[in-house]
Amino acid sequence: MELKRYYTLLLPIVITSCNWFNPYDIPLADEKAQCVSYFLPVDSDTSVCFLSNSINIYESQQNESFDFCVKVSTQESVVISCNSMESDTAKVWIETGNLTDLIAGDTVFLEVESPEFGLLTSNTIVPESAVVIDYSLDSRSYFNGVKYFDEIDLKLSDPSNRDEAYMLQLISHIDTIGAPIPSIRNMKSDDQNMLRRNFGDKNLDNALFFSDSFWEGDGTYTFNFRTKSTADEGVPYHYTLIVHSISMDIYKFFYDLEGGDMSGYFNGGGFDIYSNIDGGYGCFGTLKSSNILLFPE
Amino acid sequence: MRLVLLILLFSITSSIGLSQNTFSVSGKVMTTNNESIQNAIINTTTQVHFTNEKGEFKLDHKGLLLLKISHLGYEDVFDTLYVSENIVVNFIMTEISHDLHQVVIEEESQIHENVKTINTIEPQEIKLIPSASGVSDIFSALKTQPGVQSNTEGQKGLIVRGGNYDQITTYVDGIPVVGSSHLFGLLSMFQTDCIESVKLYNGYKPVKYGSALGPAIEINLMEAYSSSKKNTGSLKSSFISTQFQFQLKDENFYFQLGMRKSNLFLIQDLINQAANNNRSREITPIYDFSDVSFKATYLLEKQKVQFVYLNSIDGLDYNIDFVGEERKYLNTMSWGNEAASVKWNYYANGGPIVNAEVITNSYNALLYSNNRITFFDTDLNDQIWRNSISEFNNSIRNIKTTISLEKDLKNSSHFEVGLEYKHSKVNPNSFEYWEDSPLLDEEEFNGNTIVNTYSFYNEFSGSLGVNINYILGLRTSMFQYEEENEIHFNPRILVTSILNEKIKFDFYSGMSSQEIHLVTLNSFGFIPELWIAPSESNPVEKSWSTGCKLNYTGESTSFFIDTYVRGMSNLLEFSNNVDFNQSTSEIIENGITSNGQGAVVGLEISLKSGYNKFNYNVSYAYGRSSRLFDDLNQGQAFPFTFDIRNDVSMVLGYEINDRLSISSLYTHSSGRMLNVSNLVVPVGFTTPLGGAYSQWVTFNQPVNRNSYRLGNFNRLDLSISWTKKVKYGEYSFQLGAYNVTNRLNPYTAIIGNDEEGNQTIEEVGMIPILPNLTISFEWN
Repeated sequence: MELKRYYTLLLPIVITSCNWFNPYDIPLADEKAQCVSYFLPVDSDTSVCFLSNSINIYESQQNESFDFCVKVSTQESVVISCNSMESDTAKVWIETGNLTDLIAGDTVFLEVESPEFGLLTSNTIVPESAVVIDYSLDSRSYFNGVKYFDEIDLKLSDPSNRDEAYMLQLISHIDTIGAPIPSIRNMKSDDQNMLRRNFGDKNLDNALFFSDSFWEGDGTYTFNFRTKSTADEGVPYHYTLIVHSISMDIYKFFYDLEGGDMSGYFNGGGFDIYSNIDGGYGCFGTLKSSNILLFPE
Repeated sequence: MRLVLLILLFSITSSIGLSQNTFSVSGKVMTTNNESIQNAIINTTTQVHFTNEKGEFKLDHKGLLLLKISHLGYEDVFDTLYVSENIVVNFIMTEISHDLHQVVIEEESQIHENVKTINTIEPQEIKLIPSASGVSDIFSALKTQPGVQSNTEGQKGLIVRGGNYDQITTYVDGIPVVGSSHLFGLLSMFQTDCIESVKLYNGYKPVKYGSALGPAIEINLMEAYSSSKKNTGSLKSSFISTQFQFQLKDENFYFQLGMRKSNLFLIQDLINQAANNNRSREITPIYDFSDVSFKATYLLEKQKVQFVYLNSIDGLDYNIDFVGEERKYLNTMSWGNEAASVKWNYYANGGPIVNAEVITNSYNALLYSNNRITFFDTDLNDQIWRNSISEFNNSIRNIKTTISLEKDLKNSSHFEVGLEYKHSKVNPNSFEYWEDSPLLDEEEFNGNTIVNTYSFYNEFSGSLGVNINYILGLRTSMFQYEEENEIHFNPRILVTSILNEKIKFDFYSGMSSQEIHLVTLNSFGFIPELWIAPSESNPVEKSWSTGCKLNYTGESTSFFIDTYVRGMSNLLEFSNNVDFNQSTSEIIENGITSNGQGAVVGLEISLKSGYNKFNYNVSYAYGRSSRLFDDLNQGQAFPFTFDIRNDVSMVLGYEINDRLSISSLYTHSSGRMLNVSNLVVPVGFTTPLGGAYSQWVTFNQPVNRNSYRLGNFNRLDLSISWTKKVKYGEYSFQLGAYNVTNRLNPYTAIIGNDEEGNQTIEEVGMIPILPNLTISFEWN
């Protein structure tokens, strides 16, 4: 009894000092996950949706094939397309032209279903089309001491009071007989508001993307960027500038991919990449594209 | 050694006392069960007394009296008294549980100071445990203690009870030393020949020890005196190191010098060969270490003055060259300690002892990496090779002054009170940049670097009735930094119930504070460390610990089982998105998550026994250590880096004859956790020209922090010793090997590629088999 009394007296010391949680209550994360990347061009009849399995870097593994279906829907229409996953990434073509006309502000829904994993769902909002007010191309107008660059100006107007985002891609064409096929061109800008999509290495060729968060005054903004002039002097050529109006989901996804420093030695164990896929990872977004032909003056 | 001290000091004091009147010193010698011990020897150097049938004794003396009480089957009891009046004092002797020569570490209960749950390790015990260097080492012995993780290859200090290595402080004659290891925790920075005793406080921690959340290790360097001038020393050399130790003493003066330098270049080819078990890369690890310890004391009647100096340096170049590609990782790590103290003791009339000391110490840790990796150059539109430079360079400087008073009271009670002031300056530095684009201006850290700590502590120990002993302590500290003043009250308590002759039960509970934070990154590669002074957003860390320990002590067997819980608060961790390209100030402001909690539960079991000349010591520890941060892992708990679930060590020793002995140490431990919380997913993209391709994207799984557990740790060490005594000393040969099976136990992991080019995690070890042949010579 004497012993119990002393220990009872000790308990308050212990209890009053407690900052305690259950060390066994640790959540279990999925060892495997699915990723969807689907950037739906609303003006196109078809689109491609990618589905990927995560790679287990702890050990080599063999992926077993399985079937999956993708359902894209609006309030009035539904399209479904299926395929099988043979390796770590599969794509499925979807006849999105069968959807009712999509206008800005519409919500598009996505479901990916397979017996191999739980339902993946997402939705995104169709963006406004880009409003291009003006554009110009100045041939070989910028010299960096070594090479000449063509400079391009593009003036956009804010089509609504919602958050908007855009992405620019540039294709060059040599206008001679027997010329090489058109190619995607690097773009560079001194405007800090324009982000370069370095993440895709050669494949994405530094598309420029930006939001309208920094636009002020009359709701317009003039972008200036340049690309290396590769055609010999006197050779006719022109560019196709693709102005994509992208949903904010795409913008956030690309923004995080660029923001995460994947190089360096002491990376902190991974960066949070935006995802709007419930049940998995990745991005589902829509985009509206318009083409501008740029000829040197 | 203590006997020599007794003899000489007593000679001094008794010679002073001859010309004066003496006083009587009387009392009783008893067992822990309060039974009288007859014929116990009371040794006062000039006289020998025996207790009578009632265990009583009486002698006359004046001045400083050093006593040694011995009796067959009991541990010797030492005490120091200053006799200026008639004194009645009782001594309690503890039964010896083991044969003297067995390979065990005794659980010591010094009843005359009340019972303490400490593990005391004597040098002769340390010497019997195989060590990485071939020369006995205190770290090897400590790692056989349950709760002290044996899986610490690659760490700079000891890991105890679910904390990081900043939470355990080593006090060397009162000097707190951080990162007191060589060879990534394989060896301590102290020569065993320089050490008199080692105590591990992993349950109750005396209140005089603050500044760290976890346990304390108390190392007492040698100190002895002689009636005539005398020198002793030793010279030992092995493949790992050469060390020299020298002691000089007379009746008032003691001097000790220890020096050590690594010899690893002798087996560099072997290290290279063992480290390179993968043809796709070539690893070159070059280790180097050295240390110096110096101690001098001087006795002047009732006073003692002491000076101690310590210096330790470690370095490692660890280069990985990937065959057939430009990729190269060049890593340099170094860390060092330098400390000095001046201490003064005054033995006042009536028994109180006054201690005053001034300590200065510094610690520096550097991790520099130059990694040649690929980089996509958007101007060239191609992958190019670039050198990524990373540098972590941290230093801590402390100045500490303490004044304390301790006194033995009646009924074996003891009282200690102290005042302490500590000034700490912490300089964290972190840089990451491309070598071809160096930082133009290495921005100075603009956060807080200074913390002043004012502490007052008092501790009282005594008995409640016949079978209960207790220690009550309170350490009150005020931490002053920036504009903040934090006051922490840290009570500590230990209660020991003596259930019967062989079984005791301890209950302990206590709180601690730690003003300097350590944040480590346990991702791929080496572990960078960032030391940070407290600030408004990163306040002083706190912890509490409570446990119960059941001890059994038989004639030749001792056993204990200890179970505990620990809680911690105000912890720090690197954030998920820490960007080391930022300045140190920005990293600490943006890349550190604060206000974290820690929770640990554990169970420790120890069994020590022997039969004739065969002895064994088996220990097992189970632990679970988790962390909880609002802003990490979606606010859910995750495993701590050193969430070591199971840890087993077994020491076997056999004394073949007086000259020849053999011993082995086997350790098994769960691997530590790496913060690999990512999922690598190929993401598909289309191009405007109609193509499609996939690109790997690394998604951070939000509830999967510290999800990857490195492989288990298994190691076997062997040692065989041959010793011969000669008239001028002793010489010996020791042949052995650390990690006999040459198993490269995982220290960390790197991203590798399998035969199909897929990314994989490749675990990397550091310490291969280290054979040793040690030649020792000791003179006296």
